[in-house]
Amino acid sequence: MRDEPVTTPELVAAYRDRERPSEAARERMARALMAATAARSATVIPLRPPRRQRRGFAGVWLALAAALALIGASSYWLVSARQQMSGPADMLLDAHDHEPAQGTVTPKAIEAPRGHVVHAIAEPPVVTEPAAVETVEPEPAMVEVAATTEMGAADPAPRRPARSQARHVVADSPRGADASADPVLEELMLIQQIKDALDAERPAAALAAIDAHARKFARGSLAEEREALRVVALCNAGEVARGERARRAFVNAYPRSAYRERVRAACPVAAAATEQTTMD
Amino acid sequence: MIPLAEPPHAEDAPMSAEPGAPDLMEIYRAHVDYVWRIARSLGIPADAAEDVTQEVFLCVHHRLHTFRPGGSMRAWLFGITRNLVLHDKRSYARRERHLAALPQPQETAREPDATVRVQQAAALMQAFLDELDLDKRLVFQMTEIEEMTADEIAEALAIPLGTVYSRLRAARARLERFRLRLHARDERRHACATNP
Repeated sequence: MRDEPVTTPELVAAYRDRERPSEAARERMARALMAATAARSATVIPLRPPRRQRRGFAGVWLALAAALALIGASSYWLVSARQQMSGPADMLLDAHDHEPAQGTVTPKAIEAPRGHVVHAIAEPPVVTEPAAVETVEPEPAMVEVAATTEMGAADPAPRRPARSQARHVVADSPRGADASADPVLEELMLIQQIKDALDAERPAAALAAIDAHARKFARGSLAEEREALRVVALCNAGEVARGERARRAFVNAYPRSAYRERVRAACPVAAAATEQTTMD
Repeated sequence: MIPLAEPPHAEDAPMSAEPGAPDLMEIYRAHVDYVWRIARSLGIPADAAEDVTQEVFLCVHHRLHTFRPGGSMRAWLFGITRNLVLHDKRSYARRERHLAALPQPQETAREPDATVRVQQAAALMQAFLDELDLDKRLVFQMTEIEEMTADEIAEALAIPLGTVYSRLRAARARLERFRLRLHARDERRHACATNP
């Protein structure tokens, strides 16, 4: 092992260099793809084979019809049994007691393994109890942001989480008392505030949040993101000279950053002027 | 399990290819390493990664018309890769168990020091990634290794931006601890070597 500590860029570069297909494998795959393109007869494992989907739906409908028939038969049997035991007046008095039991037929039973559950839930006959459908599981991402120290917890996996809804909760949660108590959450929320302000075209507010983040988390884990956003905010605010200085500082500090393209595009006028000066 | 994005469906995407749509081989050349690494991260063993990668691009070939111009190509590729991996994972896991029962080949050839160093660093990074749970691993890998922006990652994983940042922050903090641990170990070894 080397004497000097291994750096993150070194680890990343080595991993990127080793963890990839060999040249021979690349060549083989390229040949196969070109053959497929030419013949247009590539054999692909279909992600959602339509035939199976139809068969699956037919099966679901059959199972559903059987279940409904069974429920109907058992209800009829129960009703007749109770009528025999206590008469119709008692049935009317006890009617509300039966309501909770209606929700026991859940649409989960017909959940298909390949993500067809959305269609199945949307079908009216499945929904025997409307309230059961409205019971939405908590958004896993929201839970995660609200409790960042337990980020390893298993998330339930919704197929299509509503991003706008999640963003809303993420933006709201820090305004509670917990945000200032938890530095991790506070740092995250400051970054979120910067993004939100930039999205809302309020660069001054974004810069204020950036300065707040820089004061509190000068060497925070999201300093790279903050400095990239600073360049964008300065240029959006029309402070091209400061933006350009911030851009240079950013590129020097994070030469391989994923944000370098965005940062470069943030101040096109300044960047063009710099290139012109360099050429002269 | 993390909430993962659905790749765009044919029915909610334009059916005809755009005139300026990217060429399959262009996409392949630009993203083959990325798809390979994502497949590996999702649990595909090295010897099966080539098959999965090829399947992904064959699928891209068939579904290229469903890609929305202006969307993130890598986010789209992630969805396809993830779907294929989930589909095939059981068979690959079975295969891996069979292969694990076979004796491991012995490395005999001596490699130059520089290559050994790169190998060691890559192995360290692999060890670090293996320590992370899949949620954080994907975000960290997409940021640091694939150089994707937070917005792209949020789109690929179908998670809010705040979650991307929180996972990234946690992963970076763990990397820092991992590096400190390595450094401390090296120091101890050095001390042992100089003061036997």
